[in-house]
Amino acid sequence: MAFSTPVLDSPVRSGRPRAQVVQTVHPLRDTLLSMPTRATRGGERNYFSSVLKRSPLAYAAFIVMSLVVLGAVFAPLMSPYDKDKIDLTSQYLPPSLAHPFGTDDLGRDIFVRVMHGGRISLAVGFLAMLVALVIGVAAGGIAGYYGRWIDTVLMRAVDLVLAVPVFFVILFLSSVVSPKVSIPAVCLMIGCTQWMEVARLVRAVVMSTKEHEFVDAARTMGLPDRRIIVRHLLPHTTAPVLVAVTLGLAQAIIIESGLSFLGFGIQPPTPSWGAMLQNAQSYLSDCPWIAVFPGLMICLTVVCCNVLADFLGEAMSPAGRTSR
Amino acid sequence: MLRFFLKRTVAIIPLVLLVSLICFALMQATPGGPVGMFSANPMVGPEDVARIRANFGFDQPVIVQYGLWLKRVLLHGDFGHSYVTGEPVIEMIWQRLPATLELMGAAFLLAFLFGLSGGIVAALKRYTKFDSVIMMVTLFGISIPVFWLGLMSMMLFTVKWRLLPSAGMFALGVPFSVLDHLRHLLMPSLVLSLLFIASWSRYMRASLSDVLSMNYINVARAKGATRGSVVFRHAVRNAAIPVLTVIALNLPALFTGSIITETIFAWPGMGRLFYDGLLRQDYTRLMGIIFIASALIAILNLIADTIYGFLDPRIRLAR
Repeated sequence: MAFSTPVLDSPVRSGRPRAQVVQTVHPLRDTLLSMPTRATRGGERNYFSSVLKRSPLAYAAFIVMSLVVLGAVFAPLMSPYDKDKIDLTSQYLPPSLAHPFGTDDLGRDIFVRVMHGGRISLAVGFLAMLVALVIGVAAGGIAGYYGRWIDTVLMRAVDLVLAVPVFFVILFLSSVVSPKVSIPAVCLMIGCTQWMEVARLVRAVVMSTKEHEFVDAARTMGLPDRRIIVRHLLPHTTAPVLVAVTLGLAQAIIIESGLSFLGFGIQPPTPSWGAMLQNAQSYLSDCPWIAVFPGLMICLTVVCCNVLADFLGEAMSPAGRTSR
Repeated sequence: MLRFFLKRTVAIIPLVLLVSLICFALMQATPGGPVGMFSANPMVGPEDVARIRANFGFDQPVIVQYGLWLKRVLLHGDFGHSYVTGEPVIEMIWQRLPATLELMGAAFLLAFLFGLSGGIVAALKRYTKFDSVIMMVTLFGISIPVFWLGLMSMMLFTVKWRLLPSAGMFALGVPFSVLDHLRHLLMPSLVLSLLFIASWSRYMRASLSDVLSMNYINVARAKGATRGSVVFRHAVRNAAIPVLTVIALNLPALFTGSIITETIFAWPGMGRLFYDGLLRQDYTRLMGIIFIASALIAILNLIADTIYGFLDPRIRLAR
């Protein structure tokens, strides 16, 4: 028997029996093409919101996280007190109606500072993850697509950073730059230590996806590698990367708060949740509220990130929909 | 097995060297270099700074300095002298290392015992009340920053209920007793280990749940193996392999946690030594500690790799 192989469908790696190759048109092609994309997107959104409502924990986390973000965004509009103004007549006031979270050692309102601190802590977290995302996607995409020695070198780099006590190195770096560590520098340093997970995930997905026929088709059409990676391969990594980034956001917030707590991150008087805890240890016995509230905000935010990451992982992976 | 071990040993050497080279270069890149601390001192003029730089060899290229430093480290175990106290750095580290290893060891042990057993129990009682309680607790466990947990437990256990001491390794002015020492160790090691208890038990639960749904577990059950034998001989052993990777990956985090924990609880270990060095810009000390810490992590990773190869023959046979 002789088969005439269609020119358009001649990828070398196709493992399918040749007889099926002839049928190149998907049976539902016309239906699929005629479906408006808007509607599909709306459907996707409805799917998410319906799943979200069925998972009360994730729903609660979503609401709390939204409140925290809104509080941070609109902090300047909702502050009855100046966040930095030192008021020696109202030092060490316990929580009350006038000061819901009390006041600190310089008489500043802790509630106002916590909301403003959210601006810094969340911004640092998001920016750091943006840095991590860029490095991770680039490294993972290149390693996964090209393979061979580039892959070896990049994955060795991942192993290297994973095996280094990065917190020591970040502290060392900040002390080198100190006393003025700028906020972008903090974001950059944290981002440089959080990209490995993203890189690994992207690499794995790209490696498996590039074996598909549409990639061969794109190559046959003469698309440059960069375009194939960015337009055809990277979109497939969205789901796992989104989960990793959400988890990484939690990590970035924790690292920033640890750095600032030790005095090598955000510098006072700029409030960040960690920086507000810097001197809290001295006041533990007499005014614990100085230590309690900023830390509570860190925990709340990080718990929400972790819950949402879990939820996203389950909602977005096809396996998660059925097995968990 | 021996070849596998040797191969891994060779692989960690460039890692430690690269980390130390990067830190060394960064140290030189500080404004004013390692003698930058004198720039604010009116008693030290530019010619003095130049003399000090020449004496310490700071005017040579970084790579030459690094070579000399590395030679001294490798041949004589000499990390130089502290800029601040003048003591040999290796002696400072040597004095503090046991305290750190004790704290980390205790935390590791707690995390290993409670983390793995918590995960096993949660996986066996999956989707019950008990499981959701464990999952809830561990969710908070992985979300609380170490330093805040330290502050809060200090506030409750020391300030409020006066149960546990908050600082140091021993009570002052009292003859040494093991019990007193353990009382001092309890809170820091628990605080340090909570993150790992929580995260390892979550991984163990996920891994064991996966394994328990495998066919060979059904086969073992069908052959009439007892429940204990199925769980411990067949399931847990296999489920432990991926968890071990996570444990090895968490070792740097254990060091990180120990810096913060030691700082809060005034535990006289390497983390605290490092923190003091940061405050005083004592670069030789910082270099020494980073070098020792990365070497320690590399060695511990090597041990984990070896155990890994031991548990899973596919890994050692594949290479």
